[in-house]
Amino acid sequence: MQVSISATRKGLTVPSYIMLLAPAVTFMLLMYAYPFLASIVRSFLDKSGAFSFENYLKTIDLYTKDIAFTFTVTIFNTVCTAVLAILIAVYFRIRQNRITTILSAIYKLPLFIPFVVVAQMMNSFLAPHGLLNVALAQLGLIDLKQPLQLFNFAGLSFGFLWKQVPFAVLIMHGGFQMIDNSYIEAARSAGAGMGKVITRVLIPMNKSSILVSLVLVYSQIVGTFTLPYMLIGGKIPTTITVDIAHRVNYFRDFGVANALGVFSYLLVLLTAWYYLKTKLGETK
Amino acid sequence: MSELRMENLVARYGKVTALDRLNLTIKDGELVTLLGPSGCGKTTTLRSVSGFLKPDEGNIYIGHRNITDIPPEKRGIGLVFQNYALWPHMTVFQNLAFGLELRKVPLEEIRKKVRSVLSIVKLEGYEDRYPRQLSGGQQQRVALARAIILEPDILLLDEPLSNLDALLREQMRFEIAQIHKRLGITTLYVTHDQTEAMVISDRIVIMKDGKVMQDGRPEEIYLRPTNRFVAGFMGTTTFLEGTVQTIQGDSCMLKTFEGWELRGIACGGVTPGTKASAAVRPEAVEVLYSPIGAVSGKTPAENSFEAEVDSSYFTGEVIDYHFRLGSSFIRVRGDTKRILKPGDKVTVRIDPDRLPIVPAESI
Repeated sequence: MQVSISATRKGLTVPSYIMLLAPAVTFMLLMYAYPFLASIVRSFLDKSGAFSFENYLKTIDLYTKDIAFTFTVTIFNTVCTAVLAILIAVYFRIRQNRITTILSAIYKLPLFIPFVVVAQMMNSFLAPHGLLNVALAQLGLIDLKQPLQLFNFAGLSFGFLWKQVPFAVLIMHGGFQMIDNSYIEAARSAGAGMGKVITRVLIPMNKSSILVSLVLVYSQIVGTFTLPYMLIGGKIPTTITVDIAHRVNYFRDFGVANALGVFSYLLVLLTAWYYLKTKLGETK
Repeated sequence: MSELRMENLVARYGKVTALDRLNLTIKDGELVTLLGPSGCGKTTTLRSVSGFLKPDEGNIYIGHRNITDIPPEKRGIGLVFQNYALWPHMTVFQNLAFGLELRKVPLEEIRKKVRSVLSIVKLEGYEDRYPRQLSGGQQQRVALARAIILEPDILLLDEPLSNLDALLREQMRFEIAQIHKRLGITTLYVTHDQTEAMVISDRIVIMKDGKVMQDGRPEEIYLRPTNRFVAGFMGTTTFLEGTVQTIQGDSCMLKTFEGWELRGIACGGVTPGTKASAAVRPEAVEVLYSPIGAVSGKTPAENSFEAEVDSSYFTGEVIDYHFRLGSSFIRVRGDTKRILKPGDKVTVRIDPDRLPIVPAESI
């Protein structure tokens, strides 16, 4: 009995508490930190295992256009997602009627569809003789002999927005719903029209969830593989993720693939830096 | 400054009528309080005036201007909310400057106005603080300052003190009354706290089920209630029921169902032969601390009765007694120097000048 009490007391010492964290910390180190750091280290190693900038030189030589394309697609779609999602979420917040009830049920559907299915849908929808072109031709807006070519920036953006806007709305909508009516009414009684209420009160008061949703959208777009792979494939320009797959599948070139990976980390790091800066500012 | 007038306002929520042909005028510079229990229609009235609720029928005027269909931002009405509704991402200065910026007032003038209004609400030097850095009372003052800085025609206050602690609430009542006297803005104040209403109002409007039960000066409402609802709502009231015997001028004689005769003030148009209720309030009851036969050997004085202590509660300032008077109960406040026990018999005298007698039927 004495031994067991003593053991229990010993169990309350600080090192034991730290040990409780060990499984989680080990998991994080093995599954996230190690592959992440390993890919960075290997990006600086040549085929013989020596330190070198060769992978980066090759990456810059071959893939600068694709890095720029990825960055442009990501920024463009994040901005478009922000605008559309804010408009929709604000509409849901300030208008509560039958239409918004129906819309708020429908808009969530894309969230439950995997990216690979979205990619396949977009493939048949945006194809030269796909649903969109056929519909436009039937409306007399285009000639099917010269269909819209959408397996490029435009089609990719359409697919990203279709998938990401509902996700952003879901997060923003929750934030907007938390804002009490009195804040809106206070602004209106001070003389603000709905435009000013939205820009000066609703959006700043929901800045946190807007920021979180856009950081997540941005990171997801940078890292999405299936949609650009199935819509654009190996055409130039394409996204970094397609290039990584290409280097690994066709050349077993992990060095350049890792260097490309580091560029995508840098792109994501940009948002992480902005997010942390804003959150720290809020805390102060 | 302007007069606020509501004519035949009707507001319905589905089958429930929240405002039932409400007619109310608030004179220029007056502070009128809407007082009543939850669901009586006071907040619906305030929301109709502010423009956030469109009444189903009726019209609202500020002066000669019909504002019924004018959007809230164009009504020229200042609004103070129960939860203050200060925008948390803006400093005190930005909160106050918001409305002025929308009106394109030059920055220097905005600064001057903000300083001036902050001095009115005694918050000089708080311009750069965020709402979260202020106490509840300070936030309420900023909310008031934000409403008055725009020099509105009408000021609406929706239970502005209900989130404050008791001590601060009492202090703020006087401050709001003083600020109103100083600025003279026509003000509609909503509360369910009768003491708050008494302290700050020029006039009190008691509401029930979307209708005005009584409209008058605080002392009229308290001392001359016109119906049983108002008499019961104001103060700590217990009722003694009976039939009106005689009326002479303001004076009314009521014979209770137990056979006692009570003299009081005739209120609400009571007539001889009708059933009525005497509204007994603790402050009108004097405790003589001895059974009726033992009081100085004199014949029983008017409105004096023998009562038995049923229960007592020590509140600090006074002892709150429940006295049994025949089959009825009355609430009495007694001196803490002499504590009565349940079962003690005493003589009570009810002051006829502070005993309103109102029609018995409930409206």
